[in-house]
Amino acid sequence: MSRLNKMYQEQLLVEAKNPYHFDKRIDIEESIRAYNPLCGDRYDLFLGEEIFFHGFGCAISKASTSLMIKFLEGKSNEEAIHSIKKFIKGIEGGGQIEEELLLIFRNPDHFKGRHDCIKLSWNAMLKYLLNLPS
Amino acid sequence: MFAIKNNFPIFKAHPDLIFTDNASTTQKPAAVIEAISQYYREMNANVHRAVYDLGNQSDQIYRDTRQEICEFYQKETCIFTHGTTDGFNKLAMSLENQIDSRSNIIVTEMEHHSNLVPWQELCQRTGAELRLVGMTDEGTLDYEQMEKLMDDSTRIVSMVHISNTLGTINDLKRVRKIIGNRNAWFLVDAAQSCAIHIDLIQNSDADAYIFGGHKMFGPTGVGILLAKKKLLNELPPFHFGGGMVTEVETLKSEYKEDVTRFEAGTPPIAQIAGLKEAVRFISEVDLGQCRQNVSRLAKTLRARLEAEGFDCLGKGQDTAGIVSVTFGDIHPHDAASFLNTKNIAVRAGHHCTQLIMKKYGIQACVRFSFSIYNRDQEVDSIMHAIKEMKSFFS
Repeated sequence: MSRLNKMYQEQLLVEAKNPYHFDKRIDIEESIRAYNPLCGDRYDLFLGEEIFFHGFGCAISKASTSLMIKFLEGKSNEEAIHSIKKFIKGIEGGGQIEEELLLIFRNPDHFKGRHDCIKLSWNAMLKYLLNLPS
Repeated sequence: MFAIKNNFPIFKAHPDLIFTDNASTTQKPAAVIEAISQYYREMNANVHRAVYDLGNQSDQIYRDTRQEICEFYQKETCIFTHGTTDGFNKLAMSLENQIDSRSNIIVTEMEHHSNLVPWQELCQRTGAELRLVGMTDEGTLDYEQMEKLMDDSTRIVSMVHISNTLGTINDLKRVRKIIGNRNAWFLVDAAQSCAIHIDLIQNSDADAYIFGGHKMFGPTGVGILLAKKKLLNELPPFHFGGGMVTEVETLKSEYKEDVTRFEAGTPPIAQIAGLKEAVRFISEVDLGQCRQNVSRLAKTLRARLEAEGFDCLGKGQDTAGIVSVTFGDIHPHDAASFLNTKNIAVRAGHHCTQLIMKKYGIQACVRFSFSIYNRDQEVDSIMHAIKEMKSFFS
């Protein structure tokens, strides 16, 4: 597989072009922003019974956010925190990514220079969850 | 141009590399790399304090480089900084005692954050007003607005010479005329002009020019603040400690009178040795030819990008070898990653010019910036890759 196709696998491009729950749901009161000041990528995550997102970003950050929302569906806050930490650790080279839904990111070396894109919404979501009153 | 490229070992290590991120940093000639290496191999010693031969050699390099830089840019004096951002921060700190709540400071919409944020902070500390000169949609500075914004309370006009995002070359002579006899310091961000637009620095009359060595084929970690003596004479030292004092008592100290009062501590001597070679390298290049080449490359690329229906920022007047572009639905970072797989190095993002991004209503763009080693056929390669990219992401 070429360098290009390792990074931009078909599944990633499909996900980025058809992102899950990509909708500006301003009717949902609770929202957080995932923002990368270096590149200007900016997503608003609307946190209701279901999670939606909207904003501007690259194919990788968009696909990653879309997959995160799918992945977190049905998880408790504690489960979400654990899963997000595990995923971020996997991207940073400290563990394996084994969850089927996230397998396109299982080899972080294919995304050199783009790890921040992958982690953008995951970091924002983790920060939000960790700051929730217990 | 072929001969020039041979001076840069990076292209021997990466023969297929098309490096178009020169506005961010330039590659280093073998002579610069060797000067740094030779310094550590054969001369390493601290400046100021040693009486032995090695120390004297370091002192010599430190003194000679300063003199050669001043002669090269035809300015009265200079101090070593750590780069453009460091230079502006030092000025903004040391000019504070000349600024109060009645003062105003003028910057432009084209500024790199390094020449914007330090002044924002200074204004917040002092209550002074920060005034912003806008630009037209074509990417030209609004000089008429500058005239209107300037008044007798203007104490500082600090502006970019060549926009790192648009390539626009601002008219420093015109700005000097607008400032006239006002009691205002004229400071210039010369980060994009210090390498090959030397003539524009030599032939203009600002009070200071600030840039980093790595923008002019020199090392990172060292920068230059070219200045008129009358500016430096009015500035208190920025940093305090060894190397800048004459007499130290328990509760107070006296400072040197020469420019070394601004250079406390051990300076980046090896980098200064590299910078010396960078100046020599530039002085041996046909800069007129180089300017024509980068301008031609940028204009050709811009025309071909626009012919493909892509939006380039500004109109590319007086382009200094810089073209910024958006690729429709293809995100700048995806474009940069794609181009990387074709060995084309570009920068994607806001390029530390968020005001320009806001002006054009975008979050980010891809920037191609050419230098003396880029060639015409590289534009063909870039366009070929872009066509492939368009198809890949469609």
